[in-house]
Amino acid sequence: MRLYDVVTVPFTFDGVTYRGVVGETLAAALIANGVKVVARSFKYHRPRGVMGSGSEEPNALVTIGRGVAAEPNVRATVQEVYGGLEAFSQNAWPSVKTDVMAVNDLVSPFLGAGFYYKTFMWPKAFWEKVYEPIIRRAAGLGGLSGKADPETYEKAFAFCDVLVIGAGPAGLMAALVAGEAGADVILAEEDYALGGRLLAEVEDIDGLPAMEWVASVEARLQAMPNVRVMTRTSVTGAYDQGTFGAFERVDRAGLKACFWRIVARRSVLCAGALERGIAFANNDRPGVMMAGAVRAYVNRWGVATGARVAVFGNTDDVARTARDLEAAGIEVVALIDAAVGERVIGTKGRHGLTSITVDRGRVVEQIEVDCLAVTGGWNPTVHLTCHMNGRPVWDDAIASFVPTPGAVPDMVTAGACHGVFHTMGCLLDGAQIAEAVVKTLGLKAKPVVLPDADATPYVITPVWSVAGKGRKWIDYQNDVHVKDIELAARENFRSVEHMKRYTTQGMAPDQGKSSNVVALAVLADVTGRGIPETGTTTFRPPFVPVPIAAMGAGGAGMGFAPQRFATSHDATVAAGAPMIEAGLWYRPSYFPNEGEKNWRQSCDREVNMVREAVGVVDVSTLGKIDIQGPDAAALLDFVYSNTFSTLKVGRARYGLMLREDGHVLDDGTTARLGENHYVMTTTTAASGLVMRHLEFVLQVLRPDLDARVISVTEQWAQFGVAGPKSRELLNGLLDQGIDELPFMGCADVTVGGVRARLFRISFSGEMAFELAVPARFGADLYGALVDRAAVLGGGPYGMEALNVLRIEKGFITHAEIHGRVTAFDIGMDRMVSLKKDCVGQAMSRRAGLLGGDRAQLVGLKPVGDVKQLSAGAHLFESDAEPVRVNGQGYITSVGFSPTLGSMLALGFLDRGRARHGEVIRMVDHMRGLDAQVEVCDPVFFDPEGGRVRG
Amino acid sequence: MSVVNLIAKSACAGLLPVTIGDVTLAEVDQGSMWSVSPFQGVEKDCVVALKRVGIAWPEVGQRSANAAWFGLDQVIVFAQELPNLPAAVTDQSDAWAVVSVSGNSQGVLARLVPVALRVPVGTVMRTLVGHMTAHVTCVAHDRFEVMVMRSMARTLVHDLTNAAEALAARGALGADI
Repeated sequence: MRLYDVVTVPFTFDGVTYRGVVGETLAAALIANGVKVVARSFKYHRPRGVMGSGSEEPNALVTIGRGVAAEPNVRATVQEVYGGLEAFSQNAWPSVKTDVMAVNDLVSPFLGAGFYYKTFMWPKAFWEKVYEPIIRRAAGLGGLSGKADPETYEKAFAFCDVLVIGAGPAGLMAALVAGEAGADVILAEEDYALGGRLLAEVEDIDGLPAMEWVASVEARLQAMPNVRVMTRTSVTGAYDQGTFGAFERVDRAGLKACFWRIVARRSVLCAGALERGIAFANNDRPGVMMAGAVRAYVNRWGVATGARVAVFGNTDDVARTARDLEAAGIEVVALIDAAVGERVIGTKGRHGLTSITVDRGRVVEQIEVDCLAVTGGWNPTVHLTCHMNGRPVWDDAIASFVPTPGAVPDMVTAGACHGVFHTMGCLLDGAQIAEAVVKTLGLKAKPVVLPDADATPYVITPVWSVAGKGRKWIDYQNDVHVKDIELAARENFRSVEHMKRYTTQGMAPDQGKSSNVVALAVLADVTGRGIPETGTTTFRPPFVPVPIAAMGAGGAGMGFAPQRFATSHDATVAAGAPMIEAGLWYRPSYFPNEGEKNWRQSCDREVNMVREAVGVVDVSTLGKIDIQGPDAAALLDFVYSNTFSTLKVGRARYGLMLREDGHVLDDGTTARLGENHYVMTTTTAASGLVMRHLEFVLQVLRPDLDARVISVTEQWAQFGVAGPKSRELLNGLLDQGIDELPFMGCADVTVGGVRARLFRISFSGEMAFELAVPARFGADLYGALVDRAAVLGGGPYGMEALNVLRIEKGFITHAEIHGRVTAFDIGMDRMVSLKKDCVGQAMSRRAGLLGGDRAQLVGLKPVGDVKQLSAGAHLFESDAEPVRVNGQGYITSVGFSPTLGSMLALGFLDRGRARHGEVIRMVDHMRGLDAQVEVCDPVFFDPEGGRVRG
Repeated sequence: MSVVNLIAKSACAGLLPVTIGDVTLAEVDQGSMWSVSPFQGVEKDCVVALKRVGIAWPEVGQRSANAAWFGLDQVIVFAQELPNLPAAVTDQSDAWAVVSVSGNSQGVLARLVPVALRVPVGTVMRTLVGHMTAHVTCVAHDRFEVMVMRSMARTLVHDLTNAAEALAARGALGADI
C-alpha cells in the first residue's frame, strides 16, 4: 500500500502486471502492490517474503528478464524498477504460491543438518548419478540459460589516495574531509543514492531534515574535481596492496555492469551495520521483517508494509519504529519489548502473516497482525575487514563484533561499522578518522564544522532466540534454524567453522550477513562457551554476488586473446585460404585452387609445387631476436648447446637450445650479420619464451656478458621462397644476383631499393631462401613474390604443405620437441658441445636422460593393409596386446607424402634408432586405427641433402 | 635498375582514424625509430654522442622531445639517422602500431590499462592494454599514445573502440566515469 500518490510505470512479477515508481526497488514496488510471497526457501521451499531493504536481503531473490538475457538471483531489494521490467520468482513449481516441492517442508524433521551426509552413503555410485541431481533439482536458486550472455559488461581500473566505502553519515564526512584536504578520493556507495541509514530514518541534522544535509554534502563533493562519487557500486573484496574489487550496476544505455579494480593508498570503511533478527518459532513468515527495513519502506519509499503492524525487539528501535509507523498513519497494534522479557513465541499465516502469539510473562495472547517488525540489534558490517584473514573482536557494549584495527593494511573503519551507533557519533568519527588518514598522506585537513545531529546512546539487551517449540529460523537463505545448530553441536561439530559446514549456515551469496552473529550466539549457548571464545566464521569475498560475465568482461569473442596478423593476411584471406591459429598468429592452412574438392588435394599440389617449381610462404611469425654486443657470441654459446662463436660473418647455423633441466627448449637458425651482431630465429610458438629466456640469462645467470637483445619479429616481414626455381625467382626480383650465396649463407640485399636481408636456409629440403623486408613493405612484397612464383609454375603454400615437406625431411617442430625430450632422444646429442658450458648441459648428462631404454625419434611408414597413420597413436610390438603396459612409444606427426605416395609419421619409440627395419604395431584407440608400420630413419626423402645445396 | 617498386603500408592502414563520442583514435606516423641499448659501462658516452646531435636522453619512464625510455637499458630514439654509438642500435620503425587516443583518453584507457593514468605529460608506462603488452605515453593532458606490436593493430583498434563505445554510452547518461 502506498502512503501517498506517485507516478507509476507498469512492471510484471510472475507474469502479473503491477505498477511501480521508476527507480524504487522492486521489493518496495512488490510490497506496495501487496505481494507477500516473493520466493521459496532454498531447502524446504517455504513461502518467503521480503525481509530487508538492501543487499543483505536473504529471501527475495528473483530472476530479472527472460531467455538468454535472464539474470538469476537478483535481490529484489537492490533491483531498481523501470517501465517494462519483468521479474520472476525462483525455486518454485508450478508457482511461488503453490510449490509442489514444499513437500520437503512436511518431511523436514528428516531433512535436518547433515541429512545428506548420513543418508546418501550407499550405494556409492548413486551419489553422483542419482542422489546429487535430485537434490540439486530440489534445492537451489535461479538458473542460467546455458547460452552466452548477450549483455555488455565492462571492466575498469581506478586509482585514488583514499577510497571511502559507504556514503552514510560517516562516509560522507570522511569523503568531505579527505576531499577538502586535497586527496584523490573515490566514494563508493552500494545504493543508488547517498545517505546510508539517513535515507531510511526520520532525523534532523542542524535542525533540518537529514537528507537536506546529505544533498548539501553531495553537492560539495561533486564540485571537487579530486572526488569521484560512484553510486550503485558495491565494494566486493579487499585484496593485497590496497586493491579492491567493486561491482557497479549500470543497467542502462546498453551496459549491464562494470567490474572495477580500485587501487587505493588508504581506505576508510564506512559500511555501516546490518540489522539482525531474533530466532523465534516460525519467524520466517512473509510479513515478518526487519524493523529497519520496515522504516525504510515507510520513510524512504512511502510504502506501508502492513495495515496492522507489531514491533518486537530489544533496543530503542522498537519505539522508533512505532513512532515512524504512527506518523505515517499506520496502525501499530503491539509493542513487544524483549528487553523486559516479552517474547513472540509463534506466528501464523502460511502465505502472509495473520497473527502472532506473544508471551508477556503472565499473559500469553494471540494478536492479529499482517506485519511484524523485528530487531535484535545491529551488527557492524565487518566483512571487508575479514577478507585478508582478519578476525573481528567482540564488543560487549553493542553485543556484536567490531573490526580488528589493521586487519586490512592501510584500511581504517569509521561510523557504525566501527561500532558507533548514533548519527552524531558517526559524523564525528568519519571526520576524525579522515583527518588522521590524510595526515598519513602528508596532507592537512581543513578545519571542519560538525553539524548537530541525534546522539541518543545505543542500549541493547542481547536476545538471540526464544525458547519453545517450532523451528526458529536463523539463516533464511540456507534454511538453517536453531535446532540445526544444536544438532551440529551435539554431533560434535562444535567449532564454529565445523558448524558452518555441517549446517551450511552463512554460506553462499549471503555470507551470513543477517544470520552470522545470531548463529554463533546460539552455538555459544549450547556449547557453554562465551561468544568471544566461539568466534566467527570467515567472511569471504565477494560481499555481494558478482556475475562471472562482469569479471570476464571484454573476454568474449575477439576479446579472448589478441589476434596477430602477418602482412600477407589480407592477400591470403582473399585467396580463400582457411586460417589456423598458431600461437596468436593466423596462418594459412592451404590455398584451394579451382576444382579442388578437399584440403588434401590442395596440400598435395602445394607439396609437389615446392618439390618441382617454387612455393612462397609467410614465415614472419617465427621469432626474430637481434643480438648485439662484444659478448654476443659468448651469449649464444651459452644459450645454445652448440657453438656459434665459430660461425663466420655472413653465415647461418642451426642451433638447439636446452632448458636448465637438460631437455630441449627450442630450435632455429641464427645468422651472424657482423662480428658482434647476430639475428636469432625461434619457432613461432616459443618466440616469447625464448626472448624471456635470453633476458633471464642476461639479467640473472650471466650479467657479466655485455650483450643486448631485442625482438625484431615485428620489424621484418619475412617470406620463404622454396623449390628448385627459388633462385630464379629471386634473381628476377632482387636488385642484385644471388648465385654466389651458398647454402646457410646470408646477405644484405635490396628489393626495389628497399634494404632487405636474404638467408639461404631451408625447412623443406629444397633449395630455399628467406627474404626479409621492413614490415611496411611486407604486403606488397608478398604479392610480388606470389605473382612471380605463378609465372614459374609455383605459388603460395600453407601450413599443411609446409608440414608434409618437413616430415618428408624428418625436420622437427614442437610436436616433437614437446618439452619431455632431450637432444639424445631426437638424435642430436652430438650437438651438445662439451667443449664449453651452456644452459642445460650439466643436467642433460644425467643418468636416465641418455641412452638406456629412452624413446628415440624414428620415422614410420605403413606396411600392412591399413595405410592410415595418426598423430597421438601409440606404438606396440607387432604381436603385443595394445594396452598401456605394453606401450613402447607414440606418434607425434603424420602426413601424406605425395612425393613418396604414402603416409609418413614421426614418433618416439623405445630404443628406436636400433630398430630401423622392424615392423611394429600402431594403435589409435581414439580413432579405432590399428596398423602395421615399419620403423625407419626419420629422414624419408633425399637423405644426402643434394637438393638443398642445389 | 629496380624491377619492383614496393609500396609501404602502415600498421593501422584501413583501420583508423575513428571518432566515437568525444574520443578520437588515430594512427601516429613516428617516422624512423631506433632502439638504443648502450653497452656496459659506456652509457655516458652514448648520452653525450646523442646530445651532440640534439637528442636528449630520457629518464626512466620519461619521454624527451625525440627519445623515449623503452625498457631496461633501452631507449627508443625518433630520428632519421643516428651517429655511431657504443650501443646496440636496432631499427624498430616498422615493429609497432602507434595509436593516439585523444578526448577522454583517460576514460578509455582506464578500461584497458591497469595503471594510474593521472601522470605528468611525458610519462612512459610499460604496461598492458587489455591482453597486450604495450607502451603507453601521456603526450598531453587529454592525449595518450599507445604502442603495441604491429601484428596486433586490429586487436588494439578493437579493444580501444569497444572501450570508447562503452564510455560514449555512459556519456549519454551524463556519467563522466
